[in-house]
Amino acid sequence: MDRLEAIRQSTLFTGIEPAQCEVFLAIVHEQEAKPGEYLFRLGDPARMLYIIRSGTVHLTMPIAMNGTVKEVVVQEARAGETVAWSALVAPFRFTMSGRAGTDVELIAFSTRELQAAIEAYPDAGVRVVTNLAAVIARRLQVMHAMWTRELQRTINVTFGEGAGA
Amino acid sequence: MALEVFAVVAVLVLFTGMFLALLFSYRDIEDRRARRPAAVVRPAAPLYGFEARSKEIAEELMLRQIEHHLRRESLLAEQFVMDPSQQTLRAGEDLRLGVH
Repeated sequence: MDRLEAIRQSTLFTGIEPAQCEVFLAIVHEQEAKPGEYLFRLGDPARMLYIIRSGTVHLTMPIAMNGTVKEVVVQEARAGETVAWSALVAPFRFTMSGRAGTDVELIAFSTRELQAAIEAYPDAGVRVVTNLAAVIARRLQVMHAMWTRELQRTINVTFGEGAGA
Repeated sequence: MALEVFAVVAVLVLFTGMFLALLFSYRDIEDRRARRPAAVVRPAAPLYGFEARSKEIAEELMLRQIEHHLRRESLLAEQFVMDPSQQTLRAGEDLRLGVH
């Protein structure tokens, strides 16, 4: 799959005409990562946004276990998915870490260049921003459901099963 | 006549001997069984019974258990997002961390 096709089939650029994609194609940076290699770390400034071309990226959070802190995989992203969306949303800092789960090929965009392209080509830009909102909304909905389920379990354990019936 | 009496006596002795041998053998086995201590039934360690193993293995298994739980929860949450309802929200609610 060539770069243009990879971009068009990604969650960030879905629905964009090939001609409009050319604008974004001009600013892509290709990147590769080996399994276990970190693409970004929690707390770091977010300056790059990634589309996964192939492989799996693990999104991790630090969890304390037996007095040691381990990076636990809380989400997995696969080919076509967008990761590191913090690069386009204030305060532009990562709230998770991302590391390659397998050999990974990525299409990377710098925040500055992507913002400039969105502003310069508003028709395509609106579609990109709308798609980005869908990506963020999806993650939010999943995390919200997971949090609600864990809250229900905590209620069941704290107040007894009958409390949640 | 004497030969017939001798044959009957011989048969009686043989059968009585066989009967007594079986009887004593049975009692002996039953005595030994009664003296044997009852078998101690130890509960098998659960699949993730990592507490008895090394610290490194324990941590690795704990990590895998947590990630398995999160992966399962993420799938169930995705199903809720695709079809939001009370049922899909609470599907598999009893599958707590550590329950398989």
